[in-house]
Amino acid sequence: MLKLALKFVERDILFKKLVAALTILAIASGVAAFISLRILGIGSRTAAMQIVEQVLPGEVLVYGQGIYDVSEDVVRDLEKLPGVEKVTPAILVTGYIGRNSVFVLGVRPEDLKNIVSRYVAGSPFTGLSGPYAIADLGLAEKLSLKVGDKVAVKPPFGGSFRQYEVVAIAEVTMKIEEIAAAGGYIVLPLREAQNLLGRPGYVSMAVVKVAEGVDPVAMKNLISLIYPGSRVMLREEVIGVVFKVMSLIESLLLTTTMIGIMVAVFGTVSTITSTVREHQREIAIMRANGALRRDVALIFMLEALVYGVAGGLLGVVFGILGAQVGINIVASFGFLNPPLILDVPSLVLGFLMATGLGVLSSVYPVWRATSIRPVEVLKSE
Amino acid sequence: MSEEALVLKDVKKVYRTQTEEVQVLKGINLTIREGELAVIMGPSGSGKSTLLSIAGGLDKPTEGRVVVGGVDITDMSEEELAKIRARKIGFVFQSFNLVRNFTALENVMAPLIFTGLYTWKEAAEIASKMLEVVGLKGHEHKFPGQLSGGQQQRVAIARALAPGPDVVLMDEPTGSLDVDSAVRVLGLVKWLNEALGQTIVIVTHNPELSELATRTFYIRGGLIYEQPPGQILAERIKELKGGAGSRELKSLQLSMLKVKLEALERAASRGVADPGVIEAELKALERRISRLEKLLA
Repeated sequence: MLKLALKFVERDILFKKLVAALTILAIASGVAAFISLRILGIGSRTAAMQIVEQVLPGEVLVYGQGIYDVSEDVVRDLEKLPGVEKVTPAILVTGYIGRNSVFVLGVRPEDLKNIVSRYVAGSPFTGLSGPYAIADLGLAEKLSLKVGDKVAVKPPFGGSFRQYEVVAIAEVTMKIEEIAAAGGYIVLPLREAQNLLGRPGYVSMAVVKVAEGVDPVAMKNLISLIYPGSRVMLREEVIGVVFKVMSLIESLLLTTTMIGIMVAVFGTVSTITSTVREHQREIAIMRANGALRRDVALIFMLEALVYGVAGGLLGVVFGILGAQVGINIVASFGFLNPPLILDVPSLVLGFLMATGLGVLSSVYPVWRATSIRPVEVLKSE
Repeated sequence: MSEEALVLKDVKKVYRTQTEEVQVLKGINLTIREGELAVIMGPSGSGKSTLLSIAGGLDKPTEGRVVVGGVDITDMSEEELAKIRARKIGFVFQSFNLVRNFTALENVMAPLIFTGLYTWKEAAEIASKMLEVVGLKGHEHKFPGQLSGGQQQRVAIARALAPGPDVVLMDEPTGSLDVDSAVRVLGLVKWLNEALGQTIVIVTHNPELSELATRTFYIRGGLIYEQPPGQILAERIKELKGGAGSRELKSLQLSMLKVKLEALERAASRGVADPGVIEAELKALERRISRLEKLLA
């Protein structure tokens, strides 16, 4: 029976090529959008996680209540805690160069290796202070900066500004924060950043690296206990916050995708229903000739399944291509470079969703087809 | 020709609407014996198509019993009736009613496949032979749209005959054909009845068809009356066919019935059908085989 049903379906699809192609494309587009978003989401999460792990030279982050009110005394005290291997103080704040929003990053010269992946031109500053700056490659291109140029940097509050000499152009890996800053990076020696903000002796965060074998959670609890007014987060929690934001965006996009999938379902229902209507007389004849309800159901479910499988396969291909396009677009923004991860469960889920929805779409038309009473249809002769 | 292929006992059919009740059949008693070619005539609206639907298990009588090939089908469910139709009843309609997505061969194979008794290969072999019997050798892989009206009706006849049914029911089989095609199709029907001993019941309003019949019935006012058959058209058709290949056909029919017997025995051993129904079918089939064997001896 399966072979007979397959022949019926094959010829039916070949007969109405355009309608069949549009139905398959509708399913494929829904599935492709779903798969693209999943792959892009997974790639972005991986990229974000890698950046956070690369950039944060420790497992525990300590913030104050305000933007930059972690005292360097606290940093020194943290270094003395048992189980602490190293503490890296840093300033992260938005500022301006002219009218351009930039991200001001103040670090010690020894911590530059954690945030700079490559120097394109010039060489880094070596002191804790001095009117020197390293410009992010993106910012340098945007403002046409060269090594030796002078830039006037303004803090986020107040009208004062300071001038710095660009000593290097570099690729900055610590780019996740740039999502909010939407500009470029200017890296200053730690003391210069503190002076610019008018907060000498304070940093915006301290990154604590724990010694081997020490539980970061225990360290977080210990710091929270000693400094009850501070905000202490694990690196994983920072990643978690990033992921939460990403999940929210993904959910919104997936909701839009679901509308596309619903359209595909309605399209398939419509196609199979019209097929049943076209073949009403033939269904009656097949029933008169001894076809059981399940034989009739098999034919039309098989047709829906073919649409689902074809749409699913095409959707997987389009989805991967779409994800690559999405990745290129995201990478062109300059802050994330998500890898193309062909997540097998997502591909399988997309394919199964297409086939499942295909079959589900056939339920109503199949019910109509199996409800046809041959005597009523043939009576109209 | 003593066994009963189709029996209708006091069959009544009432159609009820919200405002009225119409009694179409008022107590039909009809017995068609194996090998007969019965023609049931009557004007439009006389209930002859309703009678055919009830006899073929497509509709249920309001009262009375229907027995096909020794199996009482009156109280069967829709699905049981479908199984019975697949194995025991063949239909030929006025509008050919072929499945346009199937080739001629596949159209004839379809009812064999629906029985669930035959493999694809067996069904293809039987269908191919049936198409040869109806004179359509070489047209197996053509689609209905590529065949003339007369050829399509011959495919429909081959389809009805393929499962070796106890009875073939034809509803105005020449109604959509031109005169020449109609004569050829009727010739084929008569020839198949004579050569294969196939029981055939035709309902029509065309009085010429009664000349083919071994028995003729008239239906009027919901009741059925029998009349002796005429000879003119039957003789004309005999001239056309000249009885050629009758022995070959009987051998072919015998081999097909034996395939069906094997398939039924296979189904019985697998327990895929009701043993009572299978037993009745096996008996009817063995009877037909024994009759054909006697004729060939």
